[in-house]
Amino acid sequence: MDNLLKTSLHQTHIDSKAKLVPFAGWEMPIQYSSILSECKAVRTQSGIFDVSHMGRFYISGNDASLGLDKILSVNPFMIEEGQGKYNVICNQNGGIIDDAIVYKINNNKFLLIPNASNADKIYEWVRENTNNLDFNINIVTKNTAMIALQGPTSRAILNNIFPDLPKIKRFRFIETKYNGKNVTIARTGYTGENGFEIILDNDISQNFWEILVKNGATECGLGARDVLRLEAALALHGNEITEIINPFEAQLSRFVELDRENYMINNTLNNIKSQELSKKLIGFEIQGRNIARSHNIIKDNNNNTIGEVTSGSYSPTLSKSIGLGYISDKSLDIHSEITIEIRSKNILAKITKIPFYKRKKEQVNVS
Amino acid sequence: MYPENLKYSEEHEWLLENNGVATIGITSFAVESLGDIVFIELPQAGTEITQFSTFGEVESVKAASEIYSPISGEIIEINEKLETEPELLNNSPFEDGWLIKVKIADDSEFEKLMSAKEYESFVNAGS
Repeated sequence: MDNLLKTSLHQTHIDSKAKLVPFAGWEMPIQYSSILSECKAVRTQSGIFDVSHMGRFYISGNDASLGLDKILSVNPFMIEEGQGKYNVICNQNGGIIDDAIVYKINNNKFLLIPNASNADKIYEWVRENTNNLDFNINIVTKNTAMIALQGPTSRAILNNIFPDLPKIKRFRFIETKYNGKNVTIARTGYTGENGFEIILDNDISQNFWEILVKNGATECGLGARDVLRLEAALALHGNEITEIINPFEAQLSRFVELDRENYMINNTLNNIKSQELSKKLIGFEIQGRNIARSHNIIKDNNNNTIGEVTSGSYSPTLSKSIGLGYISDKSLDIHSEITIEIRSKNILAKITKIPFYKRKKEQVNVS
Repeated sequence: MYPENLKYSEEHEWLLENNGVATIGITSFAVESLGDIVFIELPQAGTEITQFSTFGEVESVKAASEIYSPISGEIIEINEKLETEPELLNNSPFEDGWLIKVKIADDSEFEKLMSAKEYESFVNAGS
């Protein structure tokens, strides 16, 4: 694993006896104690995840808004300062190159967070489509750490560390100081739980991580993160969304703002939107305890192949076996029965409403 | 590190022989590589199984794995507790997490299994 990149928290993970695996060119913790106990910690208390492998691009220049308007599925001019927005970045055919969050610092400065596995591709795509503009990209992925603090007690934990922290609404962020260093705190996450994602300099990240643990946060790996995001039915690039899936098929139309003259693929997406979709994303629950895995075949009741599983897992929060996938038969809907072929056996499943898990709105106070 | 009184297969199953009956399970090494186990599918008592062929499945949160029998014979008992407490496999792979008991058909099949020491070398060589 010598060629793998290491985050500034790498030694902390080793000291905590995490199981490390290669992920998107980085050596990352997949679990500390167990995936199930880490999931439970996030749903009932709080967990922390090292997500420093994700890309962090500061975009600046007089044409920063204009350049992003060409590329992103949301209108950067309409984002407020201090606000972040989930969006997809599509290719010329409307396929999803990546999903990302864009944070607006001001009209001339943004922070874009692509996935680790797509960061290089997104850099090239943004670069080549903003050629003639006053538009600079400063990549700080390797100079900074990013820690996700997720769970019902996450706000209380932050209050212990930052006593004067103002309220941060969902998808808003603030810039503050920790030990004299700049810290960005965004109320975002990938678990379906209330939480924050915190960007800070490498040299304070280990100390900050330890403080979070001292305040009751459980160390969690990417394994738990994947289960939690599936319970919340949040798409994973490479699984639910790929370069041959458009945002309408992926049920992401609410993150696509059309009728913008600068948006490069405005007409392409308008066209796709006006046509009938060839497939749609569904959530399903397995009847029984087998677990569907990505690429398992989905069939209808007459044994006809109608699609494929994109993600599947046991859900510890719901004590059910759940999954996501695409089907071509639009007559099937919630409560319809389907069959999933798992290791040559036909296993009964039922289409269900997604997200599978939705958090209760009230926050729990830390004791 | 692996119990001395057991015999082991290359597919990471263990076997404990007692009066012609083999208690069979999967090793701590297998359990650790699978992670949290959430479902174990086993055949019913009375089923005949053959050495080194598959008789069940283990699903963990991250992966699914087939279980191979280290010995031939008839299943006379399955560990019913695993139905509701699959975590027994993670917590106690060599004791409470046993899978099945088999009436041994042919003692000579033991020759194809490993001792604890041999299994430990086998595991170390593979990782």
